[in-house]
Amino acid sequence: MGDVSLEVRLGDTVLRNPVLTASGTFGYGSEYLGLVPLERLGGITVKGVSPFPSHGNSTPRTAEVFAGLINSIGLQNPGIDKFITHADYLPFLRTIDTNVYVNIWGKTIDDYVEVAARLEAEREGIDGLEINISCPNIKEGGIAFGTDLHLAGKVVSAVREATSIPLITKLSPNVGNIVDFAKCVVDHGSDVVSLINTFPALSIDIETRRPKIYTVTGGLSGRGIKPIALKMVYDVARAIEVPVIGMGGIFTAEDAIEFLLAGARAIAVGTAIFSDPQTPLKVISGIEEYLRKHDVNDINDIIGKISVD
Amino acid sequence: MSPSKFQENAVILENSNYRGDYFLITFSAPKISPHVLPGQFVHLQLPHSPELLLRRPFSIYNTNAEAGTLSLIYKAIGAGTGALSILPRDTVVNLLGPLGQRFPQATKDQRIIIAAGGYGCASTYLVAKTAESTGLCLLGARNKSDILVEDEFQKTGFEVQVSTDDGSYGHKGRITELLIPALDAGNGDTVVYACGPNAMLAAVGRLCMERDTIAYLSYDMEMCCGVGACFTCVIKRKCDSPDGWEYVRTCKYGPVFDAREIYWESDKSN
Ligand SMILES: Cc1cc2nc3c(=O)[nH]c(=O)nc-3n(C[C@H](O)[C@H](O)[C@H](O)COP(=O)(O)OP(=O)(O)OC[C@H]3O[C@@H](n4cnc5c(N)ncnc54)[C@H](O)[C@@H]3O)c2cc1C
Ligand SMILES: Cc1cc2nc3c(=O)[nH]c(=O)nc-3n(C[C@H](O)[C@H](O)[C@H](O)COP(=O)(O)O)c2cc1C
Ligand code: FES
Repeated sequence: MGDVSLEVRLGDTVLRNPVLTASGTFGYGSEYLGLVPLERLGGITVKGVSPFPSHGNSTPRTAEVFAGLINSIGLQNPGIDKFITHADYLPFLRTIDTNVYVNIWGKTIDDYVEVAARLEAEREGIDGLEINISCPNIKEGGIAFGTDLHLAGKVVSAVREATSIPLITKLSPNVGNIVDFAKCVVDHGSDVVSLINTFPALSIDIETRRPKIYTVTGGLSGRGIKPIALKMVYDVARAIEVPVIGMGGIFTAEDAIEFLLAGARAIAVGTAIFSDPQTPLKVISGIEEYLRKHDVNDINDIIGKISVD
Repeated sequence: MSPSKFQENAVILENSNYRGDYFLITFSAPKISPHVLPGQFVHLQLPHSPELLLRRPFSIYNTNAEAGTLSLIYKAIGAGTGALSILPRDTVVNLLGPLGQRFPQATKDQRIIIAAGGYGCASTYLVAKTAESTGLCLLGARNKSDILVEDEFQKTGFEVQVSTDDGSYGHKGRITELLIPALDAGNGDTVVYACGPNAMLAAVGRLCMERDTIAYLSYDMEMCCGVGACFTCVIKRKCDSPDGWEYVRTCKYGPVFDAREIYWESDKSN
């Protein structure tokens, strides 16, 4: 039996396979060194970086719920200076043989531009920037840009001017029509779109009557959001020309294959990593098995191939 | 540098009710077991329970590196520990470990005081077992049935003193009421190792700092990834930032911290 190719292209870059880690669920990669063979991943998307160091939210920050997880980390990060210079972050990421995507965020458009410009000057080892306009857990910035078409377009074009690194824009599902946002960010220079980020959600301890996380509400991820994420990816992939990265509740190869059939060029595994850090590798080998079983030599032959009468 | 960590399909050799809500579980885990240092933990995936998405962290109570085994002591308090408590022998359980930073080792001339509240005895037992000197072990709990592994501590040569809130066993009152005279009786270098509820750790930390005694505190924060990737488990540590503190990941840089590193709420006004 011939070799199966899992290679996909995201704009100018080639991924050895379509399986990425979702931002915020795989740290900066170094945390999994020795546990997960990083060089077998399609790529790593690192935790959101801002121009300034950020404490993030008070604890508790996560709560397990049926079929998912609510989180409100609040984008804690060391800030762009430390990200660029400290051995745990960019210098480490440059040493590993996999694609690296840096998730960026800010409170203002200037913040986004500042991070992008700093990374433009340090672009060695960076395969793309993922513009996070969809975090539901911070007071300023984040989702404010992702739920207003005008602002979304402005952020993306401002970042586009600051860098020639390939741009991915991460969309929020908390909008009337996600397709409008996808088209808008592509029109303003995004090379790729990724979706989805989390849904605002709440869980209450009925004994203490207190919310389970400090900020009261947080973002829901995990198994429960998968069918909704899949539908959004399906809608977006048919509406735009550029590649789509699909995510939301991917736990198995079967989940990932659904996203590929719905039109995702690549997929990201997030919350499932907390249950089993090997999930991305299991997804990769499961996709390969599926292709062999169905006599498909090239993964690109199944992308978008949902069959609808 | 954190030492190597592994992901291993461990096999339950024994999982039995220890007393009350407490259970003792022993795994065959030949990859993890030889590398365990006092104060480290494993992150345990509950089998057959996809609705319990997150792993649960447990201090490693004891190991036998030759036999390739490790044991935990846990209190069945919720869905995860409840599900764990009914798993039979031979069940395969996926473990990540050993995780976190160890309790730093005392030198031969240092006197050791262990202060363990509730299942805090689980994270401190290996300190006593591997110590080059001996000392005093204080076990505190709500009542007699929450006082665990007293005999095992005694066998390590440590003197054991007990306190219970209700006076059903040992001193009636708080563990800190035993700690104060013990600290003040010392002449020379003492190191304190503590694990228990956060309020107890704060009290132990304060008493030790007032006396310039080194205290290593092991914190139980709720965790998600267990390896430093998600920023769930953070605690305030002093640093040079404008606020004077930063959030550090307890799973990666802890769970053990020197009391002097912790940013106490009382530091706010300084
Ligand atoms: C480093 C570390 C070491 C630990 N060592 C031990 C040990 O040796 N023995 C032991 O019995 N337990 C230990 N714990 C606590 C143990 O992880 C929790 O009791 C367990 O996760 C609860 O799971 P559950 O599903 O049964 O409870 P849940 O239904 O999830 O929660 C029940 C209750 O437990 C509380 N809880 C949940 N997670 C934690 C946590 N991480 N710490 C404290 N409270 C929590 C919840 O707030 C809730 O009130 C340790 C925790 C950490 C972080
Ligand atoms: C703990 C946690 C932290 C996250 N942090 C970020 C982040 O920093 N930036 C971002 O764009 N998305 C972040 N996300 C969202 C994920 O990248 C992903 O979009 C979402 O969780 C859905 O995928 P999943 O169901 O596979 O987790 C985070 C999610 C979780 C659970
Ligand atoms: S539990 Fe994820 S960083 Fe500590």
